[in-house]
Amino acid sequence: MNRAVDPPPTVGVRVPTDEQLIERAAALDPTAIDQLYERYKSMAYALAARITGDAGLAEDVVQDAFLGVWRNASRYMAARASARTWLLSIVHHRAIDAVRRRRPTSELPEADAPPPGALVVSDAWMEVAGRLDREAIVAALASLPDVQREAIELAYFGGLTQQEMAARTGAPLGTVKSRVRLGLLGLREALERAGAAGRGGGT
Amino acid sequence: MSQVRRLDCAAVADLAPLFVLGALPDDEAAAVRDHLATCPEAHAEVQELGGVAAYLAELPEPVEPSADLKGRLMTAVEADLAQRRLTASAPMPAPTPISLAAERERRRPIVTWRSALQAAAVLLIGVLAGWNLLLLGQASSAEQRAALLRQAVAVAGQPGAQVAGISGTDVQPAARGFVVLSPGGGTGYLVVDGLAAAPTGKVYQAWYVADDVARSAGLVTTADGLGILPLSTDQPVQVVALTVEPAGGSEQPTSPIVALGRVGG
Repeated sequence: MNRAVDPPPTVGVRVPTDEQLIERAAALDPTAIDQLYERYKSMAYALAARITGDAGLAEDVVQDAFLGVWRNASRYMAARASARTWLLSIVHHRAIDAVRRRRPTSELPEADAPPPGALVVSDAWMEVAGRLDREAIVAALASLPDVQREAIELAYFGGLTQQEMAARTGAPLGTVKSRVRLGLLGLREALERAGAAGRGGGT
Repeated sequence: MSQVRRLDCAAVADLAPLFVLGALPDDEAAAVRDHLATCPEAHAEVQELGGVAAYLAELPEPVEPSADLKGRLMTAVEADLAQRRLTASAPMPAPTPISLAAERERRRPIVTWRSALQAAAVLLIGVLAGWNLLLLGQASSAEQRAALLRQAVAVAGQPGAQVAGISGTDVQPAARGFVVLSPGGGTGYLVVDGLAAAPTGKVYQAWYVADDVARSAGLVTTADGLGILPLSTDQPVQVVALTVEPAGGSEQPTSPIVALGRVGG
């Protein structure tokens, strides 16, 4: 099993897991959001800022995302993904949404973003590589061929659609699609290698 | 945009890499989601690639957001909580009191701008005549307002007085203020600054909230964004909230909370 941050030496109070906090939020306990925010604010903000490139908008995204966690906590399904993955996927989703709305050329429906509960993100596979530190993930991404890495970054951090990526890079739609696919498969292999090495190396 | 394209399993597998990265246009992403929600197949490719994409969220180097973001978030959460509890406990389509304001709306024929103004004026006169006590709270002159503020400060200064901050929600983030209740509870003041002018035909109404039930605390008029309302209640109060209601006020809140403060447990 992966170990999350070790709870501090006991003071008679057990540190709740992320999943327990989501459960408490679902039971309408606002302090659960307070605690989740403290745990993930820096990661959430960094992700939102990277995508939006705008400090103010990033804060709006983070607030919106945690409010989304609060409102949709009862729809969180632990079987699908860890609370961490779920929460960050909501941040990602809202940030992409904010960027697309800001982009004047895109035609977007005014409808609200689909509820986070509908997001399909699974990290069942994450068990394979386990929790890796940031440097290992950076290295895994850097190991990809440039065009594949660029395709993944434009999509995930740039909020570009396949069509927009094709326009941006001059590559045909089919090429964009296969770069993204090959990039993800290559990233998966690199992450697995890093996971295996991490387990072999102890700590 | 109304007709969502239906996808088969092969098409979903083909779109999976773009889908997990969020790189599909909204309508296509919705079509994939629809398929996944109803398809009996496991769609392992989406699961696996989704797992790979989840690592990308960990890439940016963590950065602290500004310190006041948490306050804004928790205010929004508290407001959502108060709102949900009120809606949950509000009498469903009950045979009992419908909102007076809603009833007025319903009976009013097609409203022209002028007749709306007249109606609002008539209502206002009615309200003013009926709420003698509130006249104090709706003090219009600067002197009267200053006097009320002094009284509020005097109450706050008494040992044992309860003072709680009021924050605006997302609806009106600029709203700020405080509630003071006298040491024995019962009487006090609500002071809120930074309020937007109420839309034509609308007023601010304050609410005592306790055990998920809202009771009107009275209407709040504002001048230059500042509203002061004397409070008087013989029941316990947990939250004081402010909403925008049709002229004359409502029996129960009918719109999102614009500002609130937590007074007691």
